[in-house]
Amino acid sequence: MAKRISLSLFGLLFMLGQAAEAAPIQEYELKTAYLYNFALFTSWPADLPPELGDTMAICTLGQDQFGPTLEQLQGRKIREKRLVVRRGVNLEEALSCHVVYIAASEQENMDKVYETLRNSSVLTVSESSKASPIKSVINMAIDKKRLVFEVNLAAATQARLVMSSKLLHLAKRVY
Amino acid sequence: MSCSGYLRPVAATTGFFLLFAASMACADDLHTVELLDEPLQNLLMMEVSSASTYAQKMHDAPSSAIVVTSDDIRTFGYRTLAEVLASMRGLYITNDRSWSYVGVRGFSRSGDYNSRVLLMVDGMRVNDNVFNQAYIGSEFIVDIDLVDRVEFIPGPGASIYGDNAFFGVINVITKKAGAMLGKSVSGEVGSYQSYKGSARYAALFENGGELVMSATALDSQGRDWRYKELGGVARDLDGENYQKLFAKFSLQGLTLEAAHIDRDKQNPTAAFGTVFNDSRYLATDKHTFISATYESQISETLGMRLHVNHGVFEYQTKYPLPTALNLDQAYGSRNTVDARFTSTAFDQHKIVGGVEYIRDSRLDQVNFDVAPRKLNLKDDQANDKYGLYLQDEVRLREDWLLNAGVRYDHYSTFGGTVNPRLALIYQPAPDNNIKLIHGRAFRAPNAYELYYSNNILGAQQKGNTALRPETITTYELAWDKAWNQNWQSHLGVFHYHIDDLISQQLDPADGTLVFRNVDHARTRGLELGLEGSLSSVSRLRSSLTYQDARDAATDQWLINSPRWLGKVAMSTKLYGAWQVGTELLYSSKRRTIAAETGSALLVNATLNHREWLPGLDVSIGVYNLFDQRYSDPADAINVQDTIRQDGRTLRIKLDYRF
Repeated sequence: MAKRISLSLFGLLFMLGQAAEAAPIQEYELKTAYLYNFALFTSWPADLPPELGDTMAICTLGQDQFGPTLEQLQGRKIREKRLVVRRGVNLEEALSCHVVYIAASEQENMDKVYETLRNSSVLTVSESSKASPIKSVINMAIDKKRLVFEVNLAAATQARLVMSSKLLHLAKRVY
Repeated sequence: MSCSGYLRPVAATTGFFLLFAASMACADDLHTVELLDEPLQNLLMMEVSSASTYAQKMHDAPSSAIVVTSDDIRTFGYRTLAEVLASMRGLYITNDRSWSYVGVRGFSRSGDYNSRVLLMVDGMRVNDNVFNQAYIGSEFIVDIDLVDRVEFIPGPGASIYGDNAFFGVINVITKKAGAMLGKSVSGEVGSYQSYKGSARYAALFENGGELVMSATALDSQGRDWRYKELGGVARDLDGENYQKLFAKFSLQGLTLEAAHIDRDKQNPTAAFGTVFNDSRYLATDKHTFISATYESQISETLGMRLHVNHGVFEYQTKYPLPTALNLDQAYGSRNTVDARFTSTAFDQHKIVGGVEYIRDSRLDQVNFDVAPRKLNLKDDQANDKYGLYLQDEVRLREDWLLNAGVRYDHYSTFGGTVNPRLALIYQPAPDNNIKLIHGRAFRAPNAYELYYSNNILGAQQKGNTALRPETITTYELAWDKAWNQNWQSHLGVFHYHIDDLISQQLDPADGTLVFRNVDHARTRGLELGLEGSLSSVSRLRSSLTYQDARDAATDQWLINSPRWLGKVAMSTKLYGAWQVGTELLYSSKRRTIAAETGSALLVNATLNHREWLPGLDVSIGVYNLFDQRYSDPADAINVQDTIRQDGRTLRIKLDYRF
């Protein structure tokens, strides 16, 4: 109950306004920024399939809750590659993405998702606060009102992704 | 359409602004862009607010708002704001081949100005100040490609916004620079030789400044229409062209915004007894606004928003009458200043208070015949009005919220009016909200109704400065519930009373037509909505509305009031990255002045592909796919009882980002 009150207070606070700095950051705004940083601090193998071309595709699988925030990435550049946002892709399309955010709506098919994406060079990002080890390359979770992330190095290696030491340093957990 | 009786179709004029933006269910400011440039280590330190704050805001709002996003606009290929509104639960659009009118709760009297909704751009009033009309068709001041989202907040909004927030408030929120960085251009080709082009530029500066600029032009030949009542085909008389400009710059709480439209629309219907097939029948609207808004958080619990706005609204229609070419003109100029404060200083209370002052420095109306030259009307007016408002949102208990607001408006014409709104919101769970809402709103008589007098066309009419505002009293119950992560439903019941409607009447004393507060109406109904995901790549949004709108004195079914509206919009991924959006819009029959229109089922389908080639998006839309023949009820100024609407049309659109 205390939590719910604090949540609604946050809601009120936010309504307070645009009021810029004072307002708390929205979860999915922050997650958008995290996705951007994950892409920034990851290196993909040089021999990517040609359809990946000179753009970098940030995709979401399933029904994501980013609202309009994710589109803010559209058109930005990372290492001379223009970011392209594709939302609600299917598994097959996910194979031609650089980053795939797996929405909570896909929770039930997680096994199939990882089975399909495991050997491709896709940076899979999940969000789960469960304690169990993650199958995705990166998992985000909210911990004491902060957004934290953990990195599964084994999955990264299998996907032939190189995670920068800065990212590993900032991760809450690496395994 | 225009006024009820004689001459002067709508027009346009000034406009400008009112209060702040956001309000209720509105506008959330994304600061994603700033976050992107923040080092990751800083992001890790940031406190995050609950996931569904956006939804939460909607939940707490004293209304059940409907939102259409830029994604929907792309997916369903909406070409105008009117098409966006037509997709929304309970709304329907009427077109008289000059302007578009939105019907809400089964109310959209033929011949009335579109002035019973408040139209805002980024929280600024854009209804003009002579006719107080909301311009929603292609006559809307902002290019649809600049729209981030459209919010419709049904129900009376006068307790915050004052005039025109009668049946609801439309708030159009424009894109932020971060959503469209760099240079981009769009080109489109449509049926009947319609061509539209636009160029946009958006930038973020190192000091945090944001800039958006856009220019748009359209030219459309229009189609030929057969009018059996007029005994022929109106050839090349439905043409249209417009130019729109928009610019927005913001830096540290200060936002400067300006927009301009210059639109010409021919009219093939030979309304007002004009000569049939005379291509000179042309309506022109030129609207401009420029505004400055400053927002600041004075302390942890006190927010402030100051706003100034200047709007200019020019209107002209050329009427080729049998005797002479008649010009009907209006010029309006409006200055607005308002201040709004938001306080959370008291535990469990969120208090919003504000004051707004509007000076209609020019309300000019002119009517003259060109040759032989004859002045029929020249009327220059200026009015003042101010409003004071206060709203308190009280969390009574964890699961009960009370939202109580009231606004006092004072007009130099009719005096004062007080409009309250009370909403009791029960939230047994964050995704389960039941709202009981009672409110009152008003529509002030516009300058046309107050002052317009002339005797052209053998029909004399005169203004009435004794007019009082129209009022509406509403009761509604809304239940919004999310059943699981994917599916949400809406159930609504409403009962509205409308009093002192302004209609034109024959004054027996001198045989002229005069506006009076004579009519009363009531409307009640039921709404259902269901939306959700059919699969990870398919979404469905549907609604069904039943509404029964009647004249309170005679119990007669109102003109232009469909009893049933049904909408289904479905989007799905097809092969590759192709996406298809299909929309079904159903309206049951409507009463007309003499008879009835048939029912209509329109199907629109749009196929789109983002990044079809690097930087290039493509969209192909077919509207009224099955070429359904349908008509809108006409006004008394038409010979026709109904005005036929567009058959199948096609549009191909390309967007390119450099």
